Amino acid sequence: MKKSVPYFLNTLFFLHIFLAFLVVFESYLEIPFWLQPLGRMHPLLLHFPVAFIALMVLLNLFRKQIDPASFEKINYFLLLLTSFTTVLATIMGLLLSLEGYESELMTLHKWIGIGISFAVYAMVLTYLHKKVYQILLYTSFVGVVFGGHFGAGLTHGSHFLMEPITGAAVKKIDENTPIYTAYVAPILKAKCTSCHNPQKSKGELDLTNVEAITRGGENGEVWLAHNPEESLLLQRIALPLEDEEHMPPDGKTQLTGREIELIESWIDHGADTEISYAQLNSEDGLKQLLTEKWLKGDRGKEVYAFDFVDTKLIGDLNSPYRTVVQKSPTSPAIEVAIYGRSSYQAEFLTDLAKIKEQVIYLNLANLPLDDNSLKFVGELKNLEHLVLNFTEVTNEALAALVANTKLQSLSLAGTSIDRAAIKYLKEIKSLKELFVWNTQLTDADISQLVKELPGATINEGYIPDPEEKMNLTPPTLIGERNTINSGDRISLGHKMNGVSIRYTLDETEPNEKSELYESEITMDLQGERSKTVKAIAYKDNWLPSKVSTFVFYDKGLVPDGLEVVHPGILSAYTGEAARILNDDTKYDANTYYYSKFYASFNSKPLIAIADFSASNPKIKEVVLSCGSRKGAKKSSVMYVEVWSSNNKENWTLLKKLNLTNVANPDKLSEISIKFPESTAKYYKVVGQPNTKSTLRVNQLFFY
Amino acid sequence: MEKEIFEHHLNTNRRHFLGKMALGFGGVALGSLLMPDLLSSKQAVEEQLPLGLKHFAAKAKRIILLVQNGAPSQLESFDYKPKLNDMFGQDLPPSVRGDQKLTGMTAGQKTFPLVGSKFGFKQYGKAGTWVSDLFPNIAKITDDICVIKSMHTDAINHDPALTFMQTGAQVGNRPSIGSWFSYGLGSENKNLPAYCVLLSKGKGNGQGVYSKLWSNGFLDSSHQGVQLSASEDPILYLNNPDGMDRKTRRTMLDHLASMNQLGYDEFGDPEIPAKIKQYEMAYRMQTAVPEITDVSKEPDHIKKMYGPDCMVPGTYAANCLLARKLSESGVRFVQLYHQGWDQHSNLVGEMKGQAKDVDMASAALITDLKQRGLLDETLVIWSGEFGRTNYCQGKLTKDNYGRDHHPRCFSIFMAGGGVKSGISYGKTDELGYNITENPVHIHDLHATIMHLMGLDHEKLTYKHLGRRFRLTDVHGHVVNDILA
Repeated sequence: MKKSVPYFLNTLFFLHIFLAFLVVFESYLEIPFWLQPLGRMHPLLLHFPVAFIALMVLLNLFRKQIDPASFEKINYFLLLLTSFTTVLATIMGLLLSLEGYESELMTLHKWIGIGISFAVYAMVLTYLHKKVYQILLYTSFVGVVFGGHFGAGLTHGSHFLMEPITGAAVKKIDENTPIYTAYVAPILKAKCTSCHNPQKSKGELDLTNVEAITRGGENGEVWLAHNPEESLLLQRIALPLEDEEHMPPDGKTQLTGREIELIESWIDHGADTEISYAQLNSEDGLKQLLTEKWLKGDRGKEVYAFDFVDTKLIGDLNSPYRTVVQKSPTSPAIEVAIYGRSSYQAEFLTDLAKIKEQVIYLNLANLPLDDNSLKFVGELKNLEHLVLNFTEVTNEALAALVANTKLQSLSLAGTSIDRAAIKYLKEIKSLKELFVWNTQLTDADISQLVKELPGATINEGYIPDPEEKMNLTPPTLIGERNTINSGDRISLGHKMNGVSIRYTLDETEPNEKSELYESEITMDLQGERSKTVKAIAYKDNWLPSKVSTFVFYDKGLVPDGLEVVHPGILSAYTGEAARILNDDTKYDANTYYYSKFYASFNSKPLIAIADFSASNPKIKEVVLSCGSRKGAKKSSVMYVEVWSSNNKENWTLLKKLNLTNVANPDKLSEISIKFPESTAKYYKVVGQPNTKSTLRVNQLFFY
Repeated sequence: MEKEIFEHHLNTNRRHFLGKMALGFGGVALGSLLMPDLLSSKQAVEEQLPLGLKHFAAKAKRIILLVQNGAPSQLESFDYKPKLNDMFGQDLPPSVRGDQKLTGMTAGQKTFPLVGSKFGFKQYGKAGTWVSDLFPNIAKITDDICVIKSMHTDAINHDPALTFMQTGAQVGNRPSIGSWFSYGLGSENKNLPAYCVLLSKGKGNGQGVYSKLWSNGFLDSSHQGVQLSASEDPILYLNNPDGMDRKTRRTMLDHLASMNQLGYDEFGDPEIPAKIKQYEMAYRMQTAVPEITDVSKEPDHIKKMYGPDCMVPGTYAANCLLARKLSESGVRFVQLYHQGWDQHSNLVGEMKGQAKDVDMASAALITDLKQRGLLDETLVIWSGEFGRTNYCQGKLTKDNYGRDHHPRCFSIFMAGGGVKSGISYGKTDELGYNITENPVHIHDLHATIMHLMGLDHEKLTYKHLGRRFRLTDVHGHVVNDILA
């Protein structure tokens, strides 16, 4: 016994420091799951200190009857045991409280418990001062009685003890409960009264009952009926969070927008603490607010009667074409979307039989559905939202949906349903939204639907103004190549169905009377180097398009191979000069001059070697398409030379064209070099850029 | 007994005292073990929630983000400041400017003459939303949108601001917002990428966009944005080359997958399964994409609604129409960029052209989603990266002016997906320089968008380089006031 006393004292010291730490840093603590059982042992352990303290009180009351030496021994030992179990029970209780019990009762119970723990420890430390010891003992006992009572209240409910006698039933909130009692007071209770209550009354304000609120606080009245702007309560709430005066202070739970809106509307209505929901007329803003945001919200807290589906089953039901997903981890409801018109099979839908109850959202847009598919959909009893846009549903198939008694939103846009569908649609009484844009329903049908389904919004979508006319976009060329041989065919196109394209080949502007484009146009160059196609698009109810102009160039003789000696300088252009010069597409310099379609050279010249060794044709002209920009003041080329050879080693100069001081440098786009007809196997084209200039080239032609 | 207690007290010497101190510290130390973040001010991130599921039930399933790249002027679009017209040419009071940093473009400017909108403003819809005459079609749908006039950001130059808007950080290498949604919610239609990007260019002064803006950052590469090009082949290299049929392709992919699997078994690199997944998706995309990119089957009046430009690939209108089709087909996040909103000079002329490009199609997209019953589940956001100054950059004339970058306030609008419709949120001062009411930071916008999609921005995290990253980093508050 003697030996164990110091150990006991040290342990008690340690545990109380630990407890003090927990109390001070309570808000920063998080209890790991493995420590939670310890906290949950609180209800088990707390009976020890309760009994020990009671025993100590008894012992002290009857000390005269006990032999003094044994009394001291028993009493001191009992005190140590009491302190030990008290502090343990308190620590455990504190851990338990961190799992999330928030209530006034909890706070009281907690602080009383902590108080007892330190009081008993103080008894240990002051054991020699009998007076202090006695006072502490009886205080602790009183504490145990109250703390125990509040603790019991926590587990059994605060009315548990007296309920058999008082029988006070909690009043239920219905439409006859005053709005103040049903909605406003609970908000104040949740967000304000922890500081503004009769005990604490910060700012001399008590918000716990109507009388106290009417009295106001040190800054005056809490609210002014019909005047939310001037009401102190709302003013304080509206201040920025950083503001000293803002309420509730930074760090405390703030009011939500919905709550502020309600208080505002209620004050605006007159801050009548007696008026109830039932007494308001339906036009009233306050009533509408309550209906919209409070009553609906409560109902909207989707409580589903059905069970969760096994996550493995959900996983199995997911496929590349079908997405099956839980609405949220805490909701058993399931949302399904099926995609891919070309891959669709009926099983994609019928597989859902396993989760028939849980499907609340189903998106089948664009799928080739038959009437049987909708029969299956009709079996999804809890379905709330169905999307059938642009499917093949028929009027009759909709009959199956009458069985979906929870269906709120139905999208039928782009289906071929008509008047005959109304008799089924009107039976889906639960509908809140119906989308019928782009169907066969006429205006009269829709007004009938509006009448038949008063609770639903019928959305008929965008209705074009028949008077409004817009210009069509110009026809486009299919494929990008614009170099051709005589006799090649070209195709025009337009993204709009049903347009008629008219065109000319003689550079005149096309009109309604020009040639109609029906199939590919055969291009006859008629000995020219280029041919221009001009086309325009027409369609009923649209204004004609602008004219599009496509110029096709004579492809000339195509070399068997083309190599470029120096790649030139790179920027957007990536150095594939040989491909660029020979890719059958001439790009417009005004748009593409600085793009990857123009090979560029400055310090080193363009040297292109064309191989005609196999075809060996007669050549008498080379055209270097280099493009030029409007407003160029100086020629970018010094000279262009054409050389020929039969072995790529001994070159003969065929022609050199000096272009340093050309008259109109801005028109220097096609450099033509003519020379006496030649049948050499190789040709070398050299383009020397002007000093401090960059030569940009796009295409090389041989004729 | 009393003697022992007394002795115990007497024996309290230095050694005892130190021993007791040690015990006391032990108690403190044991307690501190229960504090997960002893030294940091924030609570620790809770355990990772399951991926592919919303954290809580929410209406929005998909997002279409219409990025107006270059920063359209709020003063010529949604933030009506008649006072600026009254004060034409007067200098911006230094007290209003405060310590605002300027860009290099106006830092040298001696005066900051105020200039009001050259374009008229009117109120529209039930809520009387102010919209400038440049946006007649958006004006018609104000009852369906929520205009936020109190957006603000940290960056003052395009690239950091756009990167910030896209990734929640001004420096690169973080996952883009679309990638976060792909990661957090997965793909709705497994035959298409969860994140698609469409580009278009207006005639106004433009700023570049780079693929880093839709990068997956440190998330695996299956979450990166897929750019659809304007050409006949919207997704490059998707079609089989000549001479390869679908069956051969299938066999080839099966063999490739088995070899990749061998590689994965040996090295465990998470990029390998990502690659297998991407090949598989590309195979299915071969049939899914043509179904979607074909606009020829759209009814005529849809083309009228988006404007005839929607038939010219690569225009904003065509991209809006394509965005609707992609979104309708279950693409989680579709992002458009329209370049050309950087009006440092000639604002009057350029803004007209830019507005003409986007006004009709932006409004049509929202109307189109609405008539299909999809607006409730699709969140549409129209936004630039920052705002423009209330004073003129360069020469101020009666008919024309320019505006510099301004991070302190700008206007955006949102529609659908659980956002309150028909409201204007937030206010700026009468000179349109500072926010006076309900500021919304980019982080707040991100937090709100995530909330609308059913994700808690504090809980969607990815552990990388030893810390958990979020789109909103350590910031962001959900703007509850604009939630329907």
